[in-house]
Amino acid sequence: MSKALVKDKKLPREAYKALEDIVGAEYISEEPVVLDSYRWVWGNEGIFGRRLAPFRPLAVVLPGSVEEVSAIVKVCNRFKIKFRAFSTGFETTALTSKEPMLIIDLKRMNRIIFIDEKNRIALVEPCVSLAEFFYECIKRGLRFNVISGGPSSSVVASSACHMGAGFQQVSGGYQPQNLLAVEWVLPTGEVVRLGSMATDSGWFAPHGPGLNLRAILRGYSGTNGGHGIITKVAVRLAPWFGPPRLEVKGGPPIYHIENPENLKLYFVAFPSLSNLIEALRMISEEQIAMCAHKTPLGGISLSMVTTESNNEALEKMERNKDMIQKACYSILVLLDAFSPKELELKESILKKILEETNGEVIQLSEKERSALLAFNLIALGTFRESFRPGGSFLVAAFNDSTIDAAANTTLVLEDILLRYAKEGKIVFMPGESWLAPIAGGQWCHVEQVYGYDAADPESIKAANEVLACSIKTMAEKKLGIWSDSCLAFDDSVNDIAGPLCFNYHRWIRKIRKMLDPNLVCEASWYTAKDE
Amino acid sequence: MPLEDYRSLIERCVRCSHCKHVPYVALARVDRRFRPVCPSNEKYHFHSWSAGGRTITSYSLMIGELKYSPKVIDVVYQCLMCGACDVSCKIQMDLEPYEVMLELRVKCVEDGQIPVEFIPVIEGLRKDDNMLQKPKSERGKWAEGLNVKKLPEEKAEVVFHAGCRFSFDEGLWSTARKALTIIKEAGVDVGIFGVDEACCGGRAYEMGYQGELVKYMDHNVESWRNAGVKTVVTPCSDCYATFKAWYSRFGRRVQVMHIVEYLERLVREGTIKLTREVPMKVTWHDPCHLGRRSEPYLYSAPGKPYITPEKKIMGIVAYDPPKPWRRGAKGIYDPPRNVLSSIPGLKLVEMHRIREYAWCCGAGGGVTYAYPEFSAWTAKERIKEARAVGAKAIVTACGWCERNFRDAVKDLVDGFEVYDIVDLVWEAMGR
Amino acid sequence: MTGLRIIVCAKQVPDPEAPASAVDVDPEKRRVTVKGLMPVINPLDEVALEAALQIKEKYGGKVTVLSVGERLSENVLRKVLAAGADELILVQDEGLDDLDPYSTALLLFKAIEKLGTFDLILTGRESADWGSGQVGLMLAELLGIPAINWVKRIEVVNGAIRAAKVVHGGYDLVEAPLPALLTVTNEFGELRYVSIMALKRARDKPVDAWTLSDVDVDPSTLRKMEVAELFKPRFERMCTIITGKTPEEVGERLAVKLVEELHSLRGR
Repeated sequence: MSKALVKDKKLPREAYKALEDIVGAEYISEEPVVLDSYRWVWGNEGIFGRRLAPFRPLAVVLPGSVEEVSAIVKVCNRFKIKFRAFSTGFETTALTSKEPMLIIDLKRMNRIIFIDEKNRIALVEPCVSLAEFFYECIKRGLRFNVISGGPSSSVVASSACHMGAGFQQVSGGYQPQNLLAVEWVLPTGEVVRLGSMATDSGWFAPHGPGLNLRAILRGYSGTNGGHGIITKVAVRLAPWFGPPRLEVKGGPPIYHIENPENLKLYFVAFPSLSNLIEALRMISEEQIAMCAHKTPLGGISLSMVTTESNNEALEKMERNKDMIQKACYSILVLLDAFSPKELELKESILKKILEETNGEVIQLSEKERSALLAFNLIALGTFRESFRPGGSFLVAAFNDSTIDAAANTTLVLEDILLRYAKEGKIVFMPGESWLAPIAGGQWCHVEQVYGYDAADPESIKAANEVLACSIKTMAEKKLGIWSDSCLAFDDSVNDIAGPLCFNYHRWIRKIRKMLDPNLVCEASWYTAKDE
Repeated sequence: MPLEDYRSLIERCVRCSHCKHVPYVALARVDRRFRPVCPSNEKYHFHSWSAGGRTITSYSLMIGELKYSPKVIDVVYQCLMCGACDVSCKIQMDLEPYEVMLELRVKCVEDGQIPVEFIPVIEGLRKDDNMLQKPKSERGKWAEGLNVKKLPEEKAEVVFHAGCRFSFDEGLWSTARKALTIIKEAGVDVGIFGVDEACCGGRAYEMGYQGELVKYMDHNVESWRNAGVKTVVTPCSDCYATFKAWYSRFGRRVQVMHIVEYLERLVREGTIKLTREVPMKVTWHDPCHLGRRSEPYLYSAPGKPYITPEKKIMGIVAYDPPKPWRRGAKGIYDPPRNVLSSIPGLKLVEMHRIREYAWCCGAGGGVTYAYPEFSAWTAKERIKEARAVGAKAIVTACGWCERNFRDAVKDLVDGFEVYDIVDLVWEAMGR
Repeated sequence: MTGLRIIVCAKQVPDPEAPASAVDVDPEKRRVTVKGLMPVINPLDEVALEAALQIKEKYGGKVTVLSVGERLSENVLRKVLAAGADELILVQDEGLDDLDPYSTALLLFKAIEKLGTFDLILTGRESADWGSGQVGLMLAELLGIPAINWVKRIEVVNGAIRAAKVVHGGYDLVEAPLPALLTVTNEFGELRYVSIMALKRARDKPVDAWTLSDVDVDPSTLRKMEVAELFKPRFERMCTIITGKTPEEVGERLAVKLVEELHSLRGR
């Protein structure tokens, strides 16, 4: 399974020199020790049997501006060099390729260019993380969804390059729909500004000419580098009713966050999935919550997110068996309000909804509240519940659909997951799935997360088997469009999903060919095939 | 603990890059431009220059795909071993990035792969028992004329361990003398080893020379026992962390107090009175070794490995017996702040990166010997931060930090001071 | 004569100064590992280098240092360049750990053959790790040149070497024609001080790295040293209180006991 290192492939000297001339010697490297750190990424073990890809990238280059990015891409076209850019990314889609490529690390492009308070727009570069962006926005009474990928995820990647579902989307909307304008270095190196930027009239264009290219720009779950490089995005911001600064006290790993005055967190358990769904639907419709979603691991989420280590989480689960059982179907709700009076109103609405749906509010300790607040605001703790238990994780069911369809999706694969979990090869418990309604609750995002151990070949094997099984089952049951990047390790899933969804795979391949005549963008995690 | 024993922890690094930044919750109170917490990554940019990158480097070396080269040595040693990465990583993960980097260095030393600049330093250590390449006979000169018990010829309950920096850096002698005088005048049965004092071994260990640490640990613990010493007090944060953390990692428990803890106690009990105004706006720099790196290893014993065995429960990776994680929360953070706030007239302003996520001074990990320009750059970044919050001076409690800061502010035209907390206490005592 | 062509054979060894607590002896694998310390150049080979450098200073010439092994550290061995050697050649390959003295001598012989002409070969008296003291003399035998061991002073007189060889209670003055091989004892004196600047300068000097095929040696002809037994010496402490009615009686019994113990130790 695990593959040996193949001989390093190097860039032609002339190409290396050309790249070096663009960024300067300090910002380019082809030293094996440097390249190694760019062939290691979460998910590699599923593809190659281990974390290190069996080949090194050609080189790594760190541009500092859009001009440099454009020049680099032109060099790639001249020498037919495959490349992919990444920002804060830490997953397969960001760094893994099928063959050695040039890595364009956008680390240096990390400016928040402006936050326009009045018009609720911000313009940022790729290496701005969601958490730091969040803190900057709340200073101005605004916020932007932090996706479940965690606080280090990139604003640009989540809105324009990759999928990005988050805990705040019930109020903040689906991330790609928050995209207003982009600066896009095409696969040919040409710089294109979409939206009103095209006429140089600012960074705002919700619809109309230009921006409905969104589907081409981003596809459904991200082109993941298959269509060039996004160097700036303008995004729409939502209002923030909390204080301009979170009051953080105490020390690691679970800091104490003072509860902001106009925010209130609820952890609610339901007797059944149908009750839970009903409650989520109603909360979404009433538009009372900043965050409302089914906790990914059910009651276990509470143990994982609010504890300092796996040992402590296991102890907690053992100690609170009844509660864990009860919270198998549980949701997190974060109410936010403009004023204490509005909060009161929203609380009373929530209370009413919970009465109708048999929801039971579970009392939280101070430490739990702090941890879950950080979880909802900046997605801190998603690692605790996804990566920490087994060391790594994957997603079985992955879908965006109606709330009902999303809920049904989670049930289809449960038996398979439980079978593997019983053998101790993966981490999974009944009721585990994350359901996050989007803007008003018309649709809902679902992810069925299971943990595995990246240091254990048996566990990796099991994780892969589950994944293969998921794809097959999702196709057989026709469970809607799903994402290539999260459900499979390559393009193959497009061939399965495409025929079920208007042959979209053929369209994206044609579009890709048109945008990238020299096929220099490494597109393994978009669509690598040539139609 | 060979690197191989950390293999599963290495393989579970997900390359999330959290190790490069201030912990994300704490970021709420940090200005965005001070978000980076890893000097190495800030200076050298590529992912290899981070805890995550070095984790990958160690894996690649371990499985034989990466061969040693001068660049590999740079990657391993252009790191201050300040441990900020470890704090940020362990907010969410059950991993040990610092331990991995340390074992990687031990491996490099065993394989003879070190910056050549280390060679004279270690040779000096072996010959003269200090890290400054100074003659052994000059150790103890700092205390001349202080009329204090000389161990081991005499016996004392408390030993004042000045450490290499305070013993040989003449510019810092007065601080050590004041510290010792304060303790002595407080009526403590204190003595010094003077010329017979030896290095703690900590700095050599953080360069990868585990053998040197073990040697000095055995020697020091034995010497203290023979001299009837019950408590070790030191003004040096490096020594403090070595006695408290590194010695405990190898199963030796030492009752040790940093001078800051001692001062706090004396102030609290009213033994020393801070009466004179010190009208100054200062900021406190948390030395890594006084803060996050000083947490003892609670569960080690001589000959027993640091890592307790893994045990999977329902596929969840746990440890049996449960492992008390070192996450930097239990460092000495409040005592210096308490002391400073009891000084009349003194205004303490906090920098952005403080406590467990403080930015390093630049003097750790052997960087001062091999990459002095990186060391100086790191110190200057810290001074910039201190000035950004309006401080006119930076106060700390570690000779190594002080020396590095003093060198960094030398060229500043508009003046910026560097103090040891002892100096300010002395001043406030009206001395 | 434009000076002497001198070859110094230097071995990389685990640090002989390592504290006991850093040394791990594995009786099963019959291996000694040193934890957390750098390997060093065999201190006695450093003495040989010092001798070579002094000869070079006095008579002119070129000093080449040659080392063979499996995992040689350039950083460690570059010290010879910093000290003043002109050239460093490493013969490095898989399977060169723990060779027996003859195989080591054979490898050195092949490397020296490749190097071409030479006037003088210097080695340390023995290595600090296994201390067999055989390699130098075997190498001379293979090269078919005279060898003088345990040398503490060297002069070159009319194209011949005159060496003071340490013997019990004094030394012999021995002469031999060049080329010759000398093994040098620690009485010669330590290697000179090497400054940090010299070490840094040495970092940029080229080092030749050869493999077995470069020196034309078939790995199957090499033999490993066989270690029959390896263990840490055991220290046992026993306490016996000797009693008696009078101090004289106690003294007498103590003397008897000591003699008995001595006999039993000899019997072991």
